[in-house]
Amino acid sequence: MRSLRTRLLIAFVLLGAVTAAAVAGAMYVRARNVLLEGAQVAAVRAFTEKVMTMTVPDAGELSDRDDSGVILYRGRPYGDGNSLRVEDIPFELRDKVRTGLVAWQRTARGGQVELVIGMRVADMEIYGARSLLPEQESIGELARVAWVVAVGSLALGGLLAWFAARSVLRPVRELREAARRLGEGDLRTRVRVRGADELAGVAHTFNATAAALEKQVSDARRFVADVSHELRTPLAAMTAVTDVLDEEAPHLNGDARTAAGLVSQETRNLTRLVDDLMEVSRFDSGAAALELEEIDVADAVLATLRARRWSDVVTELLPVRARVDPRRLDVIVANLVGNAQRHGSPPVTVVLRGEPGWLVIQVTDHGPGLDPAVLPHVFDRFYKADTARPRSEGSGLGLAIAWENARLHRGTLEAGNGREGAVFTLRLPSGGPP
Amino acid sequence: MRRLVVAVVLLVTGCGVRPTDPIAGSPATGALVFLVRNDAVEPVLRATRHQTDPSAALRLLAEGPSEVEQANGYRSEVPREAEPMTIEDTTVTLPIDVTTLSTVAMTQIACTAAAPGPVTLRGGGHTRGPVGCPG
Repeated sequence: MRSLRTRLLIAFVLLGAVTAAAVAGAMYVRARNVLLEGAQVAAVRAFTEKVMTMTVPDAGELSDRDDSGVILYRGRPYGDGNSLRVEDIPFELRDKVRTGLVAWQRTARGGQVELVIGMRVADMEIYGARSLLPEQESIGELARVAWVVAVGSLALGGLLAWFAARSVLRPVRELREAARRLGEGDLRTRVRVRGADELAGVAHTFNATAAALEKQVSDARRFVADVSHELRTPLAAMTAVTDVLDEEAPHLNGDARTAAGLVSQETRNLTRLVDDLMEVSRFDSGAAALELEEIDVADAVLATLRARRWSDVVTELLPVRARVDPRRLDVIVANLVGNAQRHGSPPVTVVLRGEPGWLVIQVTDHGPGLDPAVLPHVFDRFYKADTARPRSEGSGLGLAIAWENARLHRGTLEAGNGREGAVFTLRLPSGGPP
Repeated sequence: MRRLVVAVVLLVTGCGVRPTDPIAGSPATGALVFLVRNDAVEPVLRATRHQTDPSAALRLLAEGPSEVEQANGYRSEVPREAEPMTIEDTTVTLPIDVTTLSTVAMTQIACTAAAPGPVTLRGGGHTRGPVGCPG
């Protein structure tokens, strides 16, 4: 498939070629005819005048460097000044001359064109021949100039066409790039509107669409953020109440104790869900910022595990120092290990190693691994791998938050399957985001 | 594609200077009269304004050689009184007795008449010829 630019270029060049050929060709033909006709008329006039001033018929008077002549009396050469051979006079010209008219004809002789002129006076025919070599050379020069002009203007036209196609297609290229960025989720993408042509109209529509899309998405996000925020105050009160319930629970009996425990547990889950939602909202609104510190990553990982009382996690931690946000690193590691403990089988292994410019943390469990159909969605929000299990202990946002945190560091978080079970690999730039 | 080939062929064959058919111009003028030089009858070109027929040429002949022709050694034996001569096919009729004409004068008239064959001269009740034109 040919690109739009190639097609434009070909169209332009074809147009240029046709125009150049037409103009140069027409000029050439016209100039040639004018040149030849002028030369012929002058030659015929010179010939008749020479004949008229001749008293004694002598072909020698018709001959010089460029010209030759012959005089025939009753069909036979007359006199001894003849320099043109009778065989070189075309029969059809002699026929015409015998009717009593002055006549001329261009004939080709040995690659050269010459003009043969004839006239008859009574029984005498007088012929002169004149070489058209100077005219041939002039016309050849004309043809060369016509070719040079045609080819030159074609090249110039092609160059101009190339620039024109480029300037016409630049907005198209920008639109394509902007559409690609928009599709990748950069909703702030806009294109520059140039001029007032059709492409400017398309750019304008694109910008309006992108703005509408951005507004819709941001409205939805703000709604989630507002809801989460509004839930925090009652939740805080409820959390305070559950503390009392927890304290009182041992003194309760039967159903009341179960109910108190359930309320307490669900309140904690709800609090975590709201906290996670607010965290996600901060990512969506772009409010999430890194607070980088130079830390010992192995210490940070151990601190994370210790804080969650995950003593059964196997660790292989090489000493790595890196500039990262310690709080966010803690969130990532906690979410990954928590997820492995919930969905995989023990032991869960955390491996830390350094690569040039990167720190790599791998969290591996010994479960059945991830279903290949699940893999592309594992970092989606509220994605449930097992639809038969409607509720899990997690909020459903843990891995999404971990992924967002990795992205904030300009790092990557990938899910895959190892020999034992699911493997989550976190890679963060050890010098902070570039 | 075929149109392109045709265009290229036209372009190439249209180049340069090519032979033509004969092109006819205005009628040729001038007359051919036969005068005498060194006792030989020779043709001489005379410039005329219009196309000249044989009887007009005969009139020019009777007028005798011009100054330039005389300077070049030409003379004529056709007397001025021979005018007007009329020509019909191969017969030239003179207003004088043709027996007074010399042989050279007769040849001059026969040649200038440019008849398709030998010319018979008639005048003053006499007939001479037919006389051919040598050369």
